[in-house]
Amino acid sequence: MSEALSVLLVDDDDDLRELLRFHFERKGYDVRALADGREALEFLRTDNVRPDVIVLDLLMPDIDGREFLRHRRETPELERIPVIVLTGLEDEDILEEVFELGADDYVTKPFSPKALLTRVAHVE
Amino acid sequence: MESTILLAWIGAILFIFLTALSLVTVGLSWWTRRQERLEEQDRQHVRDELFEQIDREPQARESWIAGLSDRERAVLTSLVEHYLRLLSGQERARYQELAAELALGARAEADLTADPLGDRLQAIAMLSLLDHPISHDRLEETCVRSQETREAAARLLLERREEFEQPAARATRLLLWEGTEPLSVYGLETLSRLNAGEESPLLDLAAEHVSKWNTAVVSQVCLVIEHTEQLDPGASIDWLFPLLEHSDPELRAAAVGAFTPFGWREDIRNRLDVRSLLADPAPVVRKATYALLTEWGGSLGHELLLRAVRTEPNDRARLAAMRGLHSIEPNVPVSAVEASRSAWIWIHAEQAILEGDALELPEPTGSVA
Repeated sequence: MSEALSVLLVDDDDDLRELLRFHFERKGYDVRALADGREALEFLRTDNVRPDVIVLDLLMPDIDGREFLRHRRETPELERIPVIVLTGLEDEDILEEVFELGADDYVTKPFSPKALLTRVAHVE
Repeated sequence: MESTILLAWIGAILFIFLTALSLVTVGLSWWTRRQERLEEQDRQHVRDELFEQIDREPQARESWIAGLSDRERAVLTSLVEHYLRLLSGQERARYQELAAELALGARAEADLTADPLGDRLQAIAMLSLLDHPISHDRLEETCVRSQETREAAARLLLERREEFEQPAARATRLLLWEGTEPLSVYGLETLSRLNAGEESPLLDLAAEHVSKWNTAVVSQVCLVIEHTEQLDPGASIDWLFPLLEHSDPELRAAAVGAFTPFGWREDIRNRLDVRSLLADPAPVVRKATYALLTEWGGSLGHELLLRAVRTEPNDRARLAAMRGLHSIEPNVPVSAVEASRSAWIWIHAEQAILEGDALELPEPTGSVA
């Protein structure tokens, strides 16, 4: 990843991932997009670079968003990377849990990409 | 000798058959995978073009739309539908605009009378995402033939409620219709969302028609009422009381649950004969009553739950009573409920798991339930 601000997108929805990639790249971000939590953890553990922010879906197969947050919490250098959860779930208990697991912010679907970009800029 | 030749022939035929089957399976698998790859490439290609086009003025993308093949148009329709579900705000408005240019609304309206049920459902789902004008009369004309289309039309009324008069009442009526067909989970969720607010047309409709509905539908209505917040505070629920004496214990239990949101109303609390419900011969009714007492709380609830954990003969019902007691009084000692020691342990184990704590078991005594 170059000196441009970098974002890691983690979502199993191909269309959504590409939509987000388009919007972030247009804003000048360096984007890496992955399809599930396991790929994301492997990427973060094996690469030397760290994204400036992670946008994370909750409902994914295999390692889901909550499991990813638990793993992140166990690794101090990953914990420093801000995470914004992007989810279709509006259950208050789940959202409370997400913050307890260390997420920095959340955005619920349906969402405005412009609003998400604003949140990402604010959380960096 | 002849039998050996016969066996050899059978073996050869089997071998040929199995080889052919393997080749067909491998070939089909390769072909399917190839098709999936081509479809993914198509989708990616159309998606990339869509992102380039979406911010342009409609006139500027006319030639692009006109030049789409049928396959590309189908992919684009799928993408537009997907993004309309995901997006809000200005971005969504752009996709609405594109949907109009693709005449998706007009096509969906025409498909309301299509023959395959799947096409009709797809059409209603598409219309719920678009701002293509559709009247309630048109929906009633085309969507009442089956429970599935009624549920989909009710959802459309929910999603586009600002455009219709009395959307909650109309949609609730569509969902319950003649009260002969139980709702799907989707229909139940729609019914709940329609009635969570200042208006609760479900309660009014039930007051008028409950006697005509079958028990499965009535049970579902009770379930929705039990779990719906913010019901109309002034609505009459007189129709619920006779259900407490229905011959079907499951319906009696569902009716008990339906009283849950009304615990703040003194007239209801005074009128509901809780002690009689606790003496119901069916454990499922007693269990529902313990859950009701748990939600209502208060000193009477505490007293009755404490008594229940000591005297309830049914294990599941007793566990429900213990769960209720624990939520009202978390520190009740096991000595106070010795007759339900195992239920006490169960509830504390549940809590320990939820909170990630270690479970501290009480000291064993001579009596164990």
